[in-house]
Amino acid sequence: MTSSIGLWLKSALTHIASRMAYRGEYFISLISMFVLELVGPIFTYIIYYNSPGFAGWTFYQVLLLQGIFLTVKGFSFMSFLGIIWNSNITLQRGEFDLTLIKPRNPLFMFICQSFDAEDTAKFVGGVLLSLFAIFHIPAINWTGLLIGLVAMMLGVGFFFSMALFFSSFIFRFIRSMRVYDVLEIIAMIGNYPKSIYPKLAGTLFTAMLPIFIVAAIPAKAILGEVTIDILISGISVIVLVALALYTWFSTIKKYSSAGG
Amino acid sequence: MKIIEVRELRKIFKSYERGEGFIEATRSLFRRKKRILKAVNNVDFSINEGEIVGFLGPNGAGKSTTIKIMSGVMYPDSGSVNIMGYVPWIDRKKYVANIGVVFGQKSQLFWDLPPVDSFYLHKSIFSVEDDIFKEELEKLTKLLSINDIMKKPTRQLSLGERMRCEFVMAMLHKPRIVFLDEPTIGLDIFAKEIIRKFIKRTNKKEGTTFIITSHDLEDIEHLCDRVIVINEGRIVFNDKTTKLKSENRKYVTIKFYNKVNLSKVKKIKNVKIIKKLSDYSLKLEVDTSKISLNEIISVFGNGKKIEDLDISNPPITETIKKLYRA
Repeated sequence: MTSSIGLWLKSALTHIASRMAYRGEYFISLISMFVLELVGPIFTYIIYYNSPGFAGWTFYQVLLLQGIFLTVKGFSFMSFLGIIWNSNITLQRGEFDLTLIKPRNPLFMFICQSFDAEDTAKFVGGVLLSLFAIFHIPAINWTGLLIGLVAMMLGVGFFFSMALFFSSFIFRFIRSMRVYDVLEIIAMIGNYPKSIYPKLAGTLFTAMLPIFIVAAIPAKAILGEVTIDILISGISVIVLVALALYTWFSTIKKYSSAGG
Repeated sequence: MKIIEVRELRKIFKSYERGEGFIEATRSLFRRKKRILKAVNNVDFSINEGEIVGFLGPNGAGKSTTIKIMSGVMYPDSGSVNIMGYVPWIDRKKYVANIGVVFGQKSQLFWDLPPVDSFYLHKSIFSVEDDIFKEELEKLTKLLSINDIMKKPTRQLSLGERMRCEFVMAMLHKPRIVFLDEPTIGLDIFAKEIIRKFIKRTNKKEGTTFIITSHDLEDIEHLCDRVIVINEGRIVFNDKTTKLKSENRKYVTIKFYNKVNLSKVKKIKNVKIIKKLSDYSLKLEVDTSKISLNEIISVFGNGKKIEDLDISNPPITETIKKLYRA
């Protein structure tokens, strides 16, 4: 029996190989994705040195935050957020049938089929930026780093729940192209420290829609500041993921395919 | 031995209707007229292991919905389906490991990669053992003559070549049942022949059960032992394919040396004029349960010289058309 991880890796490599079929377009896409994602840190640099900056954050700490944000977002987009786009395409053409005729968990298969090769650039860029920032920040300890990594995984969980909710929405209301824009707007909130938002928004994005778990909370943890926020957001993410899984599996039971 | 048993299967779809034009489109944003469609309405049938069964019906009759429910893709509203001891939509994971599906209009192959890459991914998805995979791939490659084409990117293959590779995908894990949804759609006669031969051979040698939906009645005549015709969600025919070739009706084409007197022919009972081919020639439909072919020849031959005579079975399309209209 091929393990799920083995199958995911095989599937990811097959998708990358498929994208490589158009060499020119593949390289241009990778480079443009990398360059586009660098705009965020450059923008931060400009804001930081031409304004009062972000209260309580040094420049490299903000870079770390954005590096973590890019890593978590890049990993999520590369690994599973493609199901949102894929839901739109496959549902319109009734091609979800092809997922359901495989002897595997349909969500897992759908994730395998939705691997996004271009977003590897976003992920790699995020990791490099985080490492660059870490080397410029003194006194980072292993405990903080470990808690930060756990928080990052919870951040991935947050994006996973969003992917499932939006995919379910598309299953229900076929052809909803705007959901990606909504997701980008939600994600952008997580690109900045909690301190820049009003208190109510801070509470909302920690407990209800815990977008701060994507970058702000892991960055704080890596910098040695572990607060109750990680617990509150962590519980919220677990609840969201459970709810999203329930919604997704309930929704696909109503799948009606397309065509005769 | 029964391998498929379907009882009182029902599936209802809701759809919305609107009139034409921009005003109607705007109105439909606020108020839509709901329409309930009984796609599958109380369907019962069973299929034995090793049969090749044709599933026919006009567009929108419910045949694809039935096939999708049977292949575990869709949930029914009520009724029961038991296939190899599994309920497809409940035991889906275990069940689909034992079936193969070919959708004539949906591809399982990676468009930009050679089919062989898709075959290897399929092997991992279905957890096919290395030696079985190797053996099956070798056999299928020979049978479907894909040795030269499976290493070219799928996008460069002709429809016939691609369809042969789709068959390999469906068969690599040695399924006991194969569902074929319009497998020969758009194919030329040579490609159709390869695929029909392959289905026949696999059914005979390996006992694989095939369920085929097709609008190409030649597929059905060439391949199927039995035909199930579904219309407006209900089964209207479920019998041997030969029964579609109406036993009691014959087409008789007669050519005379002299001109035909149509009014006289019209008076002959149990004989219907299908077409007047020329002043000298007619195509007739004869009810042979009431009038024998000998009688026909003697009636027409009486005082007239027959130049040519052709007797044939009505094509099954005629019977199918009648079933569709019923």
